[in-house]
Amino acid sequence: MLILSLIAASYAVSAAQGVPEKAISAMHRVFGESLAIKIYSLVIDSTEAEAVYDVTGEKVSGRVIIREATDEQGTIAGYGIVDDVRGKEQPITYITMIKPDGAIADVEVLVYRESYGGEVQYEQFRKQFRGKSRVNDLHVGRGIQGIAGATISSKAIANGAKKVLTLFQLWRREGKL
Amino acid sequence: MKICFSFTLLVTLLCAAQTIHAQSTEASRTEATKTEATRIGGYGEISYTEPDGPIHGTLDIPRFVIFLSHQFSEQWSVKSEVEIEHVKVEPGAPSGEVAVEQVFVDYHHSNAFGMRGGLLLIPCGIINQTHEPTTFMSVARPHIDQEVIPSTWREIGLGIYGDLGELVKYQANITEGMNAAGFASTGIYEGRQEGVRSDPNSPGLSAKLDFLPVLGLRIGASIYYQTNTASSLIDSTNQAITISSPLTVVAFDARYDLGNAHFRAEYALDNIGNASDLSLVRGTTIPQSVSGEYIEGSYNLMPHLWESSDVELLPFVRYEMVSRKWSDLAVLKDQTWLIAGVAVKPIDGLIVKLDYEWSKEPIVFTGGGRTGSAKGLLGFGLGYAF
Repeated sequence: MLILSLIAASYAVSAAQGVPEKAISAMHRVFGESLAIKIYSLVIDSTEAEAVYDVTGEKVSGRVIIREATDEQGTIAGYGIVDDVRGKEQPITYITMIKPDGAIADVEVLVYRESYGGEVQYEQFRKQFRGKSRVNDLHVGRGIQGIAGATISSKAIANGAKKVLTLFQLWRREGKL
Repeated sequence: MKICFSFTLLVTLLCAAQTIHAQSTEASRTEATKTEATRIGGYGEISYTEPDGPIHGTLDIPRFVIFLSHQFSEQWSVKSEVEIEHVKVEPGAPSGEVAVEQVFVDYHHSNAFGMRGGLLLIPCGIINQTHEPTTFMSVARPHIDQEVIPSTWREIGLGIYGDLGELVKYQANITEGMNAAGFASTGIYEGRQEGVRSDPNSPGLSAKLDFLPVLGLRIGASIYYQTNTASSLIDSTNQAITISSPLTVVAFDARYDLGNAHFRAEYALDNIGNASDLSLVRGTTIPQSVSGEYIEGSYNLMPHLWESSDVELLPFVRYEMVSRKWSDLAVLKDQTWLIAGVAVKPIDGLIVKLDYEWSKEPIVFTGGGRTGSAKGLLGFGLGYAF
């Protein structure tokens, strides 16, 4: 009974590991284990919201949490932005990790909730995003190959990465990042 | 001892409670991701078919479907689908149909494991489980998915599903089986019980594996087996008829997307055991086997015409064949079709289709109250899914 509850406890800890913890694990995996993660937020203003809408057709607003991985000298190794996109019925929580040069380092799904379309969590789909720095290259059918039988979730993640990269580029241009 | 037991039980319960609420605390402010626990969706098809021959064409709403689901938690949900075929049901008129097409409780534990219980879609081929009109090119579903795989094939039962690593997905179900009382000379289509006060006496076992070996490629292998579809047959004196007719259905399907090009292929085989005895008992010639295959290619031309457009313009062509073998006569009867057309997706979720179906053999068509044969069929369709 004690062993069972210990197993349940260890499982529960990993399953209930919140999104912030999963985001930090993802950034350590991609940018380096020993890096410090600095957390702050940026607000999306109306011009930025309009630009994102023009590119992705999605309405965004409010505060976005930015995670910055920095080394001991304070040099930024990369950024991570967590976001939700809508799958067929439920939101998909994912993190887009961007290198200082503006190219995507990786896209990782942190929470996949639906029974269908989960293939987007896997390497085959994700590796297409690495190295891409142009929003136009993040379109299913043009730069990104969707998963046969998982078109909705493929498009959702691709559109999400477009949204995040657009915001990142705007903030870069405005000197906020 | 008692204290130890209750303490560990309490710890276990607390940990179990924790797993239910793994919500994102950083939901973006995008309006699109504000999801309600209860969701309504749907799909529908509107069609116009004009045969090349003396028979009149038909305008129809082949399907109007409402999808209703509710999330009780991240793991537990109920999903349902109600369908109206051919607009309405009227006594004495050519049949429309209202049916619950799916209703099941779903427990989605993790990527590797989930369970479902209720009226489930049998995993067989592509169309039976993925049949929104936006997912296929032609106005009508492929012949193999009507005549060999009896889409939409759904039965009450229990199932498990999940991913085995990153490249393989599995499904396995045990459901009520088919009833040979509905088999005909064309095949097994009317043998479906569909959850309508069904007889669980002879269950069906079904399983499917989907392989995703490389990006863009998806290969499926399905199997259905039932030891005796004739277990519910009775004679005119209400006595049970004891003959045994096992049913095996196998299907292989493949989808390959390569940039703007899309390919599909499918093969399916129904093997009706002891078909000769079954034919005698039923008083109609039931085929020993029905099989079919198709191969299809389509290509999105839009990026070549207008690079930044999200509209898809998809010319396509499909070759299909269905064969039947009747044991009495040992005759192998084939019919082949060539379907060519174009599908346009102005936006995700909407599709407009135009196609033409040729066959070397006459195509049987019913329109304007008459049934006759046609050399070809011109089809026009509108479809939506959300």
